[in-house]
Parts: sequence; C-alpha cells; structure tokens
Amino acid sequence: MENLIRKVSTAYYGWYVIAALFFTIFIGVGVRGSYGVFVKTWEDEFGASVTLISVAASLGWLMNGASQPIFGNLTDRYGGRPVIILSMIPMGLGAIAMAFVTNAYMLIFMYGFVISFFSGGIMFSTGGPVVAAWFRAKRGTAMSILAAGGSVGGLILVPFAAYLLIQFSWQTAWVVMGVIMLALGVPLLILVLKSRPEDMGLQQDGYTAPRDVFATPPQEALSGPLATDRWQDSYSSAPMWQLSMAYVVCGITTASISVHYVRWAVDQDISAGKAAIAFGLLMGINAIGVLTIGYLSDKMPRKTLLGIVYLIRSLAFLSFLVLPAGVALWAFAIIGGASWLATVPLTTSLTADVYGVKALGTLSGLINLAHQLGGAGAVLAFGIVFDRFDTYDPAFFGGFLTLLAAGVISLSINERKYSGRYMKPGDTVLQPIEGD
Amino acid sequence: MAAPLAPVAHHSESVDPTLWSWIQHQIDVTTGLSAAAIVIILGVVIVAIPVIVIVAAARSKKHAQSESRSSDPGDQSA
Repeated sequence: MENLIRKVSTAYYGWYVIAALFFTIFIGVGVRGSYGVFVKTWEDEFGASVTLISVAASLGWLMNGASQPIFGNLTDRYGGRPVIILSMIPMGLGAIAMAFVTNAYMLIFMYGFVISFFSGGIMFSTGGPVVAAWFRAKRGTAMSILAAGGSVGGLILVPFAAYLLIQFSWQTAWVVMGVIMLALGVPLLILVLKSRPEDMGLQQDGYTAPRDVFATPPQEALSGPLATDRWQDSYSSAPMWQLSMAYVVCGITTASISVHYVRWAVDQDISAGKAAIAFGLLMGINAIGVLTIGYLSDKMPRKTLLGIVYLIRSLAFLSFLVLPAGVALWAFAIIGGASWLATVPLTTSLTADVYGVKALGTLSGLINLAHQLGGAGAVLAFGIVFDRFDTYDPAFFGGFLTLLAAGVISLSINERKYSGRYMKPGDTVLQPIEGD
Repeated sequence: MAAPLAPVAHHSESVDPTLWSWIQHQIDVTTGLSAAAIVIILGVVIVAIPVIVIVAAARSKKHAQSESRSSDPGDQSA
C-alpha cells in the first residue's frame, strides 16, 4: 500500500485552502465587528437613538444566524467554493452601498439585512464543510485556525476601519472595506479555494492515490454509522440534539456577556475603562485558547474537550456569584477567555466526525442558528432580569446552570460509537486514530 | 434594559463602543502614530495576507505539477 499511497512531499494544499478561508472569516468578522466603531458617528449624523441603531445590529445577529442554514445547504449541493465566492461579492457591494446610507432605516436595511445575510455565506457553515472535506486527522487544528481568523479580523480590521473614520470619513471606511472584499477577497478565493481535495487530484489529509485503489473515497470509508447526506436524518439521532442544545447554551452565555459584561461592571462601581481592559484580556486569551483547544482536539476525544470547555465557562459564571466584583471581573476574563471561541472548532469538527461531510453545511448552519437564537433570547432575558431585580445575579446563576447542563450533555455524547474518527475502512471493531 | 448591541467577535458580533474607545486611546498613547500612519500599516498587513497566500499557493501548484511530471516516466520519455 505504501507504494501506492504517498504523502505529498510539498506542503499540503489544504493549508492554502485554510489560509484563504482564514482571510474570508477575517473579513467577515472584521467588517461586521467594525459596526460598533461607527455608532457614535451615526448617532450624531442621523440624529437617531442608540437603540434604533442597535436594532440593525440585533437584526444582523438574527439574519446572520438565519442565513447560515441556507448557505450551508447550498454548500452541500454545490460545494463551498461557489457559495463563498458568490456571498463575498454581494457582501462587498453591500459594504460599498453602506457609504450611501443617509438615515437609520437605510442602515437597518443595508447592515441588518443585506450585509448580515450574505455574511452568513462566508462563515463557519460554509467554511467548515470545506475544512472537513480537506482534513480529517488534523480537522480540529484546521477548524481552530479558521475560528482564529475571526479574532484576528477583529484585532486588525476593526482598528483599520476606526482610523479610516478618523482620517477620512465613515463613508470612506465602508467603501475601503467593500473594495478589500471585492479586490482582495474574491480573487483570493477564485485563485486558491477548492471545495474538495479531489478538485486538486488529492485525497483527504494530503494523500494521493490512484482511483482504483479505493472502492470508495476515504471520507466515505471512514464515516461513522450516522453519516448521512440528508440533514433531516440527523435529527432522529442523539448527537445532533446534544450538539445543538449545548451550542444554544454557548449562544446564551457569550451573547449575554458580550452585551452585559461592561454594564455589570459599571453597576458594581468598576469603571467602564477597567471593565474594557478586562474584556480586552478576555478577547486576547480566546485567540490562544481556541488554537490550543483545536490542537488538543486532534489528540483526544473532542466531546471530552467540549464538555470541559463548557464546565470551565460555568466556573467563570460562578465567579460572578461567589467572588468580590473586583476579583470576579478578572477571573471571568481569564477563565471565560480560555473557553470563549473554543466551542466553535469542537462543535463543527464533532458534527463532521459523526454525520460526515455531505450534509455538514446544513447541519452547521442549523446548529449556528440555534446558537444565534439562544444568544438573542439571552440578551433580552438578562436585560429583563436586571430591570426586575436590579442585579444580574439571577441571570448569572441561570447561565451557570445552563453551562453545567451543556457540559454534562457534551460529555454524554457517545463519540466512540458514532464518530468516523474511530473507524478504519473495513473495521468492525472501533479503534482510536491517534493519541486516544 | 440594555440596548441589544452585541459587542465582541464570538460569532461576528459588533465591537462595543466603550471597549473600542478605550482601545483606541491605548493605541494612540502607546504608538504615538498619526491616524494616517496606522491606516497605512494596517492596510499593508491586510493586503499582504491574500497576496502572500496567492503567491504561495501558486508556487505550491507549480511545484506539485513539476514533481508529478518528473515522477511520470511517460512524460520524461516524451
């Protein structure tokens, strides 16, 4: 077999695909993330309230979630390459059109609907299936690099937009971001991105083999018993529900903290600046955390790591309840930061391992939709709790309990039974691949 | 009730204006650079990423093609 199969001696082309998708997520998260930079300017220029301008952001949150199953399904049908490219183009045009917005309602339409809808086509529900098609042994690492693209996009593109605003105008900033998508992002995708390794005459993980060696492609031979090309089938099995429920909790606990963390700190007589520093620390730690977790997930069971991540985050919520506010601020930043983005590569990789890659786009989109709905509900719920009780403690306790449940649910996933990762072609006895 | 403006980049949420004001102040104090200089520096980084990836991928494809040709006896004889 070694004479027939050889590892590609040059760098595996899949890593270039990852690099292209990294830049795609970098743009997607960076452009949407930069919205907050313009809020004060729009308040003055449009004479609109923060609440009205926030409606666009909230709609954008939901629209992004709603569009992901649609684009994910298109990815399953036509491959990631055309879907991602054809999403990047209208998103870029939408960013340029933002420069011509003259009131808050146009803002709600352009950002809340157009940009946010098409940004769903360049996110994890379309990028994830491409990564899963190219990688199996290092799927967790590859997914984590994709997720880290979002962190880096926030770190670079958001300041870039802000300083464009200072140096020129907010209109110029949006035109430049649109041009970046159209003049850099689209050519990069056209020249580099391939939906599947077979498009390059390669096999998953960089193996090359004559077509007649395998009766079926490797990913099919290594699929678990629940692998399907119909997304509907997944809902008749436990792992889909387990992953979705846990990801709802991820949405609940990240969105609520995103909105209420600084406000909680101010309510505790901690300065907004100090809270902002702590939140900045959280964001810095999450980029390191996601890469570490992604690497580790290729060495040990992903469900174990996923469960640990949720349980660690539950400790971060517990710190709000049991520690003095000044200590809890930093404890949450450090503990919460380590788990912040780590759920993304673990959940997408585990979904691919269990259900295969044929319906992964739709499945990832549906799981992401669950995440966004949970987040939207939690943001409102936390606000209602604070208004009624004049404290966030009941909401934090609720977050703690849901995270405990998510941890237990994740740990209860029968990965060894269902994941294709533990199977080899022709095996009747399940075997671990590596490090397990 | 708090305005529902999600401020961090977990799943592409918008940056919090308070957090951004602080970050911007720190960048200004730490670097002492003008806005134009920061735009140029970050712009170069943003442009460099896709350019480097395109060039590296093209070289990889070229290398793979030449390697494929050299390992194929039919091609050599031709």
